[in-house]
Amino acid sequence: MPPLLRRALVGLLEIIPVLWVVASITFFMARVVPGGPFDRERSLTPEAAEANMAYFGLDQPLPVQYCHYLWNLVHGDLGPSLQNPGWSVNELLAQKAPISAELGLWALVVALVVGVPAGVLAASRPRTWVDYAPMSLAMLGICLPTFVLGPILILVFGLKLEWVNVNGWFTASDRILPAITLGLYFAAFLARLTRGSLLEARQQDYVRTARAKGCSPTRVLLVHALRNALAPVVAFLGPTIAGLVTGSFVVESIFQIPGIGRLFVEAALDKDYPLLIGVTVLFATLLLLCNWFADLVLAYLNPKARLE
Amino acid sequence: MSKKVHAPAIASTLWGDAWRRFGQHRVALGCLVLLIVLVLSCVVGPFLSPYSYSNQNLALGPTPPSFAHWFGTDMLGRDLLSRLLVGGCVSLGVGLLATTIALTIGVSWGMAAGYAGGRLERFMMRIVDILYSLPFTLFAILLMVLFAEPLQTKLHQLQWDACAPYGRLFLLFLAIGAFEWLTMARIVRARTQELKNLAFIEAARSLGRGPVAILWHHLLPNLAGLIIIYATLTLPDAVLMESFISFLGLGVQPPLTSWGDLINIGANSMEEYPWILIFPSVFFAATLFALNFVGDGLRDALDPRASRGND
Repeated sequence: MPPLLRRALVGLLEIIPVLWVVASITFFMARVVPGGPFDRERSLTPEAAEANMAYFGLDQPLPVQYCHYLWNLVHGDLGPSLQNPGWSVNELLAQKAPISAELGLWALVVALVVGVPAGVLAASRPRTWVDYAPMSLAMLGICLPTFVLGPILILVFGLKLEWVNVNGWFTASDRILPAITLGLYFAAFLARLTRGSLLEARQQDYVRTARAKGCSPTRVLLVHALRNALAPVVAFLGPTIAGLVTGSFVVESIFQIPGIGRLFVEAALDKDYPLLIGVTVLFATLLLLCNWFADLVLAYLNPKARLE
Repeated sequence: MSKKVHAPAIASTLWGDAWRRFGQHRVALGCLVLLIVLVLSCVVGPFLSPYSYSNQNLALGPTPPSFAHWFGTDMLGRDLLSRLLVGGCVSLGVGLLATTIALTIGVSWGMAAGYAGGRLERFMMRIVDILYSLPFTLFAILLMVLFAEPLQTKLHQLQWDACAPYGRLFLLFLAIGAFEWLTMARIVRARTQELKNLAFIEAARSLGRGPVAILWHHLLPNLAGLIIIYATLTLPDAVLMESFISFLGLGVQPPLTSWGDLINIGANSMEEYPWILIFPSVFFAATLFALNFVGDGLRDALDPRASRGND
């Protein structure tokens, strides 16, 4: 079997036990807590509460509940939501996922389109203002968390200048501010990363050779050096996607976007356990797959890593 | 900048050199001063302030900055500066405690793995890899949601009423600390691996010192610089995480506050009363900025080799 394929299969198989551990930990975390999710609803009579517990299967012994839960999980069934009557967790997630995915995609576009060129620009004239200006901005971008940047952008561009609408997720212009808020940190990080690895690549022998053979400086930078400098950027894409996922909690809350992030925060405040578990398991799966994929791409790009 | 010739007063000890190098990094030095001023005012300020952070004055309501209230008052007529200082205590305190936890776990884990080597090391680092790939923010939130209220009830049952409001804070830094130790473990392991084959460790081993004594007396002092650097880089992360959870309304509960909570409150009323958002945001961003720069400066000062590689 080719080593790359072997690596892909082994990595995929390793994900399964990890997911099992995640699912079990979240399940037992939610169950060892004293007090059920319906305790706060005073209006429920004891009989109604009991009926409720029976309906959701919460009156069964713990091992039975656990087996039941795992069995359903293997079949892709995350159970009914406690606080959204009539909705299953699957339906809720299926409805919200496209919105979050779109937000994440736009943010990724911002991160790549702003971050990588800014890094290239800074590396093209190191230690001049062409370098310092974007890098100072990048430092600022790293120090401004989403929940500071978001409200300030809304205040300036939404409420004072009134350029864009700030609540909801309807028109194309609604995408701009959330995507910038979510993507800017990663744009800043990618800019620093690209600059660093490009400066390193410029000192390599093959760059000197290319220059000696008469390549223009721009061509050397963009064609010869950049191609090799992008490996760390690719390696960082796994963590970036993870960060975009968690960052979306805040951004979706600030901008009132009906995605999974806001669903999770609402579920947390309402103690909707099945929904919390469902989102956690879904995100864990997503992150593990992203990391698996990033690992494969790196192995493909770097023959040294392929042999390890 | 005029270039002065420094007479090397303390010939050249490791820490003397490091301090000199740090002093040359003007931005980092300025940030360190800023941080010290900030921390001191957060700790001392609430005692000097004529206002309490929790006393409401509904008749007053939100007022813009004035001589009586330097940073204005919030929706409930509370002095914003007093709340900022108390919030700073909470944010920085939780960050500091979480960093301490992360430090303890990360350093022991990394040193043990690096020194043990072989299959045990691979196993221990595999666990770190796996934890790295999990959505820990979600787990931290889950932990807060599930255990905060039961813990508070338990504390009341034990008649420890005074501690009850701090139960949430305890959980908060536990959750953050449990997340932040991973990077530390990786870095410490890598350096331990390098160090353990050097002659002085060999010498200690041949003199019959046990592994615990070698780790504690010989390896740890050599890791100190590295640990300090990554502790200062972990701190802003931990502060950020605390504010993130509090911003979502899952961290500290009123009347206690933190910077994330204040930013959240400010964001809800920013159209009419922008100062309630702007002052906490500026404080918070400035702190993160300063912490990051001090961390960078320390890295340059204590580990010139690593910083050259990063540039």
